[in-house]
Amino acid sequence: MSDVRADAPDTTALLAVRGLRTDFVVEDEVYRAVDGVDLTIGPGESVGLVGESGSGKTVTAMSILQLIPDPPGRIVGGSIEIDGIDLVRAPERVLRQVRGGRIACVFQDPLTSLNPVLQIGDQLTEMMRAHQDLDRRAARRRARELLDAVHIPQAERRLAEYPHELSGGMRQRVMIAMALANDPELLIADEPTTALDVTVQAEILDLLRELRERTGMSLLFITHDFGVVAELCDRVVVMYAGKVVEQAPVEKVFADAAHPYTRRLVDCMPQLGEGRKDLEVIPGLPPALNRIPDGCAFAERCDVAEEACRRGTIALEGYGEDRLVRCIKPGARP
Amino acid sequence: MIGQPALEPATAAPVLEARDLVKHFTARRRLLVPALAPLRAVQGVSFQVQRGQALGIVGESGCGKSTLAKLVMGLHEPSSGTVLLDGRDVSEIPRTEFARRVQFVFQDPYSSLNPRKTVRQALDAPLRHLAGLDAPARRARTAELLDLVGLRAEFADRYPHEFSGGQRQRVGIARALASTADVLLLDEPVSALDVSVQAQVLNLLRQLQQELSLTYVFIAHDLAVVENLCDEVSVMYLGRIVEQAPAEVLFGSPRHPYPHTLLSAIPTGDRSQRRLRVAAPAGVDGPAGSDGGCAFAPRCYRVEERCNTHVPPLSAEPAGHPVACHFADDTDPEEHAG
Repeated sequence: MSDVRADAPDTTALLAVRGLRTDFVVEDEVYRAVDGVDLTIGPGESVGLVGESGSGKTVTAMSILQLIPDPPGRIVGGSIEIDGIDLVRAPERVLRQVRGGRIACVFQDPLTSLNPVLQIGDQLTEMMRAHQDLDRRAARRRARELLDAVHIPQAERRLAEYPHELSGGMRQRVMIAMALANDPELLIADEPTTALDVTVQAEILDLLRELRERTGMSLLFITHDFGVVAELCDRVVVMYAGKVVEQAPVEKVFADAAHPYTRRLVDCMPQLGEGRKDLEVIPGLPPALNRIPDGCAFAERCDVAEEACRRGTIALEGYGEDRLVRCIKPGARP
Repeated sequence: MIGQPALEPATAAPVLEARDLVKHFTARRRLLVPALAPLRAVQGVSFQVQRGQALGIVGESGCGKSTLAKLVMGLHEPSSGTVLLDGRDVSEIPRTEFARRVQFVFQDPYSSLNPRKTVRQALDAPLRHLAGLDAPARRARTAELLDLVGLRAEFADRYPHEFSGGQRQRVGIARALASTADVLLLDEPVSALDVSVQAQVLNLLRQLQQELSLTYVFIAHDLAVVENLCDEVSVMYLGRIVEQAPAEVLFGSPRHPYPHTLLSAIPTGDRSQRRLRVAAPAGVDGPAGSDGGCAFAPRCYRVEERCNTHVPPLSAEPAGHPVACHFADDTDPEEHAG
């Protein structure tokens, strides 16, 4: 089902997602949450996955990690390769080694991801000993180093604390420390700063940038906030109704979005310094995922759509030298 | 003081006023457990809002902004201080009369709407008991309200789960207006919405304010959203207001280091822009003990000795608007930064 050429040669990609399709079946209705997504991440690259609720960005991440609850969810097509291993077809034994090992993840709400009745230190060492041959004392020492690495003060004391004793920012640092425990090649971060205050968010973004420079790991950063993406990512992938609609270097998305959806999404965010004024809005709502129309799913809300936009399948095609866009009128303005 | 629109006579009385509001929460005494110091959530907050104006209250989690809203709504009893509506102490205004004037719009309309009631039923109670309308008038007013907030008339007989987040927030606004209220307290009304929907709801709030001369107290942590809607802004830090100013002044050239720090922390996409480093040392994230000096001192880039010993008063001198900082006369805080 892949209608795209990969944007980077596969030999250099760390992770290559091709034609991924993930369905959810609820009361005999099929909801196609992810519909033919292609995504490659190079070693050391930082990719931002942007979209609104229901666009499929989190389901894409969960599919990569093979954490889609089945039922109701199921990967029904495509492949997800890391170093020649197809995660869609790999046995659970292999997946256990990959998850938390080569691919680690951080989610929005650290309090639900941490075990409330285990001390921080025990959670960290358990995580390491599941993947590495470490004795208790070595794991403990490494746990302290990790808390130091994510700039948690008084690391030794924190190891004996429970998640509820930490502030939101500190909990997210612990989650990042856990993710780093086994030197992952790819960190998937799903809205890791959305629940945090802006000054704390700034600290976490700085931390992620610093860790990436130091370890050389790749980053897939999922968010709805373009400002955050711009601070942290090299490349942006924009999703709408389960499909990638645009992929571009981060600075081009702001200056000159090619897909009308990207352009309007950027325009409807209030910007500081603009004062009181009416905001641009995108009329209407995204289509229901069990009734995605033919042609472009955004056509109904688009300000440059024409008849041809509502027919057939619109492919993700090259635009300029380093971009991909799923639009028959890329760059068009009303 | 705050909230005085430049073009109106200075005698205009504020619609809503808070005078020196204080709220302390005391942990219940337990046997054999030493008593905890009271949590001083709101420590002497005053503001005024003129008719038709929007006052933004910003600050990070735990700064007391939601407690302040609940004090204004009468959902918490203040430890001291008063709230005045049109110059009358609200503690002397009967609840129904107050509810006809002041209503609350919550962050998450899904949890504040009864899932078993249709929109019509949800609007019916305030239309009957507060607006005092009979059945035919209620029916007509329901249609009017839905039209006002941009919902189709046939939505009246739907249940909350049938709506998207933005539509539910529109229902929440319609319900607040059903009571005939002209003062709305909006606590993070758009922070749970996607950006494209957030823009729609912000535009709606602005349009309703103009059409109906509504007065808003708008609580939010997103500074760009506050700037988009508000005339005046109060910045809170650990229970106190640290700066109050017209929005363009506050966002253009804040005098207090805290709003300055907040503004510089917003990711803008401009990686060359230098961000102010703020220390957030462990142990300063609670409002429990901040007696000795300025509460922001442990994180402040401008801190000097006296900041740790003297609480700076909220004073309109010398900045021309209220600032609680020993260095409020400084026009360029950045030169001292990091």
